[in-house]
Amino acid sequence: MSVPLERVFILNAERRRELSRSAANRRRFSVAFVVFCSIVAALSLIVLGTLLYDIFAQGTGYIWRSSEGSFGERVSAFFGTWSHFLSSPPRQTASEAGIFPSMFGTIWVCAVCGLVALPLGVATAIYLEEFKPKQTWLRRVHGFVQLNITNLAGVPSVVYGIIGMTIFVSMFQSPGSSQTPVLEFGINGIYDQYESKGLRMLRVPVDSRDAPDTQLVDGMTVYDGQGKALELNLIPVGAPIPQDEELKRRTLVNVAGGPARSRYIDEAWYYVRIPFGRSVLAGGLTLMLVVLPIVIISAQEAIRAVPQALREAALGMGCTPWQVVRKVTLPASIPGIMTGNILAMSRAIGEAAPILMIAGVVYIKSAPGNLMDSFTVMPLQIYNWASDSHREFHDLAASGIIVLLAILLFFNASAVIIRQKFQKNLG
Amino acid sequence: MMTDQPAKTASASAGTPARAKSFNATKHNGETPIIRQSAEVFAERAQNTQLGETAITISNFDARYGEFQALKNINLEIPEKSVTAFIGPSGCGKTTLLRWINRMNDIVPEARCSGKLTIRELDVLQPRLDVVELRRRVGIVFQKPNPFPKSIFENVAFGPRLHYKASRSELADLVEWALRKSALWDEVKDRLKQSALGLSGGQQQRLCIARAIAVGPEVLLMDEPCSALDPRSTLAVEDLIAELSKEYTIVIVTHNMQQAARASDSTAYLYEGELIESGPTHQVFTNPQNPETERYITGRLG
Repeated sequence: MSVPLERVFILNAERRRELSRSAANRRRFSVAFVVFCSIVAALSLIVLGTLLYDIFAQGTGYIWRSSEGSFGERVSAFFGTWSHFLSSPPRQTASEAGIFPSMFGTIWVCAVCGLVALPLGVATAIYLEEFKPKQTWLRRVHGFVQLNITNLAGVPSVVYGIIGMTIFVSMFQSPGSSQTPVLEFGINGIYDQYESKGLRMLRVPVDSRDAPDTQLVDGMTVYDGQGKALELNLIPVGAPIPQDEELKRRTLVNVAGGPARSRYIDEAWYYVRIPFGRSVLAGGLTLMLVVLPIVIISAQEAIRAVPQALREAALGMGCTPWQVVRKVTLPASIPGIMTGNILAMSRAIGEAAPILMIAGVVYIKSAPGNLMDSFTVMPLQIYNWASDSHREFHDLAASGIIVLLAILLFFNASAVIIRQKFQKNLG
Repeated sequence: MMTDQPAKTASASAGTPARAKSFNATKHNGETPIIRQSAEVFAERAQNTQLGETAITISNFDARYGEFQALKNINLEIPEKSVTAFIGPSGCGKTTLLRWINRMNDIVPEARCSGKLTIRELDVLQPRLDVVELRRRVGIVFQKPNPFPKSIFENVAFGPRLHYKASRSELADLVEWALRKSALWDEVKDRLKQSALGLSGGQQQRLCIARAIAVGPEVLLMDEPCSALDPRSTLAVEDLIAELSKEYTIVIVTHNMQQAARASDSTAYLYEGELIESGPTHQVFTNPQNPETERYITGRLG
């Protein structure tokens, strides 16, 4: 016995009494801590509630105030204003402006981001967690990659904007541009476009983007906006303009050097080109860079939480390493992976800085039609409105935030449903 | 030292299987150590046990984890269609040896080994071996029951689905067979679709055994299969092991000497990475050749 027993205080009743901590004190501290936590939680709830109330009051109040008539009429006016807001492009006057293009811009960009980041991130996490190398030097590489992914999660998103500009928009300063691509695929046709005296678009097909102007001839076949063939009525300068509406619609005046024309590219929905330029694809991929580290790290956590015993059980039954992943690890970790993805997508949907660099400040009046279309997103649109000098636009910004929150909620809800479904299958 | 102890299990009638008698002995006489009581059982078993041909041959086997040598020059032959127990104090390398038999140690990055380990003619340690096929032939049951978070049916059908393209009805028959074989069918037949995680620990472990035999292995490795179970479930699993040993070569690692004595036909005693003694269980327990073994099984070591 190395320690003399009289020195062990727990055996000495008197010394024990001297040293004992007050139970009442400890209980008081415990209660105080619970109270402290409740106050903090309540405070954050109050702040959240205030914010939500403020946004909803500002974003819907002006519509309600400006409508007139009976209650029923005001309700229908309210919904009318909202549906106008959701389906119109932004305009100079606040009462006519809408959020349609940026709403669809956000949906497109986030869809691209999610569709790329999810499989890529989960695959990376599986690779890093389940296929760790055994050789010493490869293990170092593995550790280096792991460390850097953790670091990347903390990089400011504007930096990703710069990377996105270099990699996706200009493709390392590649020679082409969005008007003169190096490579493109999915063009339905290239047309010279003229405006007729009847204010209709007349299109004349040409061979390439840089083909010379077509020599217009009276009586040649041209096409209108719907692709219908028409016979061109070319009249010299000074000649009387026909009164007949049908004829007027296909009449062009042959001024010196030909009538004013623009070149119109009819792009298919699957149109792609290199370089990507300031397109939906470039924006989505840049956002993917922003959220990828988050997706990877959260997926890794989820995979790590799967008990090793399950992997050993599967291996012991003769699973290949891939079968272990497919049949045991992934099903058990899907709920955790989905949670991480919800967080990542929530971040992506609210990002403005990298998108501002990719999309630029542009006026967009329609939803993107393909991956190469230019776009804008809701955070940018909201920012534009909020920084406008007219007060009415600030109300619009609040309405925009409501829409943004709704989309966010929709994304999250679907992810939660997927998670629940998988959890049920496991249970 | 044990043979001179008079047998107290008079109730054990001739004709009942030897292992069942040892169970009765524990029930009736809780105070006396079972090993001493079972002397008569051992004597009987010594006549009855006919150890078959060698199924697994281990020779000059060394295993290490990085710098640490876990096993030194192991030479052991494991007979087919019988139960072989590895006993020894914690850290003596029994689990390591067991996990090398179906190459489960492949997933441990620092684990290395040398020597020879063959199952029939198959060289287990050859680098190019198809471990998937090896593990189909050599099933393993772990210390803690580890059913998949799936239904009971899916747990048992998991292995067969990996290796065979069986129809649903064939699978159903197979699952019933495996569950009956592991003495679980009557308890779970009405809830095959329910989660396996809802079963008790003992049931889960029997499910793991059913899962292991459902792929049709020749050898079953069991790594302390009863250490997480209560005594009643332990008895159920031991009964099951006895039953299964008619058809499978079973290797079981155990900390529990009584269990080794009750449930195994031959025993290997390992100490600090070395094989101290091996042989038929009755011989190891009643007449150990090595004083180390005697010290361990009488409880003076470990």
